[in-house]
Amino acid sequence: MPDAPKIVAPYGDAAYAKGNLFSAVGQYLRVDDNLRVTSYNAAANVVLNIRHRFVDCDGEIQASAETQTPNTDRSAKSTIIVTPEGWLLGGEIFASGAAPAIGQTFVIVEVVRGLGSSALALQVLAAGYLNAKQPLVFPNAMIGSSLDGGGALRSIAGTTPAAGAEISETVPTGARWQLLAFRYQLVTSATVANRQSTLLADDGTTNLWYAGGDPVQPASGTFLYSFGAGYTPFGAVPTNATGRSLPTPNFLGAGSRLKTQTLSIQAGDQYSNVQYLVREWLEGA
Amino acid sequence: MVKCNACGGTYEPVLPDGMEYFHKCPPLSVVELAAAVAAGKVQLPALETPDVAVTRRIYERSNARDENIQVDPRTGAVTIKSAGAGTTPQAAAPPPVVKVG
Repeated sequence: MPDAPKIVAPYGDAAYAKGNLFSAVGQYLRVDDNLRVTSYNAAANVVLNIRHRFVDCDGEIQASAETQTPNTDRSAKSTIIVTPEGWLLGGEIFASGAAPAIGQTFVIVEVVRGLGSSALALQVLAAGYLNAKQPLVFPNAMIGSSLDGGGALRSIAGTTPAAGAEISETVPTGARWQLLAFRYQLVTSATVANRQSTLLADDGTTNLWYAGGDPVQPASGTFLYSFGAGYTPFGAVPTNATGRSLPTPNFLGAGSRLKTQTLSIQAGDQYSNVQYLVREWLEGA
Repeated sequence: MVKCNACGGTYEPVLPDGMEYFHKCPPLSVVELAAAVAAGKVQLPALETPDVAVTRRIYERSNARDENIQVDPRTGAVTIKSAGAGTTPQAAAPPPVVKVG
């Protein structure tokens, strides 16, 4: 009776023998397979610590510790971690140097074949946000989206425009915002006219929605305008503070703008104290 | 604190939480559009005034600054979209919280 045909394993005989033992607990990687860690980050001073354990073909369990300093402009930063032939048992990535919030540092771990920018992506092992308290684990993590979770809560001081100019704040490249509140001050010049300040959003080109616009501000006045989801409109006469409601939920993609449009604005009118509260997620640049 | 040489706006490039701020010049206001029309830099459609024009379309500065990034798909190089007329350093703004005593 002829011998049964030999099964040709995709790796060497020695590895194949040990593979029976380790394949149940680890991810087999060929000698030209490697790990690629790609981060998208907006927080300052974050350092990613990438650690994993690996069983090589001699049965030795190796530990690896590498670091990556992500970009802070939400653009991708990739690091390839060269691995020997063997089985990836598991690993984790955690942040040090700063304490990013969920919504600020998103990491993807992949198996790639080859090195450099031409490496062929083969398998995602993990994807998700991490923070100082919660590492990203691999390879058995749930694959998350960068739009998952509650986002990072950010209070942002905007640009003070020149006199006679309008406020305009732009959602940065690689970000998605949910606007929760917006506040600014308008000091009007002595030129007699009734100004009416409106907050509006556009998609970078076309206006989408308007809020407020009904308070009338005369010459030589100082008004504080505030907008929030669920506000009941109010106007406080002694302090000239007004509150108006925002559309909700209020998601804005990269390039969208929050800006004012002022009826009867005069050359000496000055906007200032621009501050707003948003939830931010990363879409990646 | 820096001042944008194109729009005259002032801002902090790095916010108190350490995160970067990406300035982009605002569209022209009614005041600025009226000045541009008077200077012959732009012509409005017939019978249209600047206060109506800004509600119908967006007027941008030709030298506008846009610090948002763009990524070259071939090389992966990251650059800002437009340096515009540049910026001028300004004195630091007073802190939002001042401790007394």
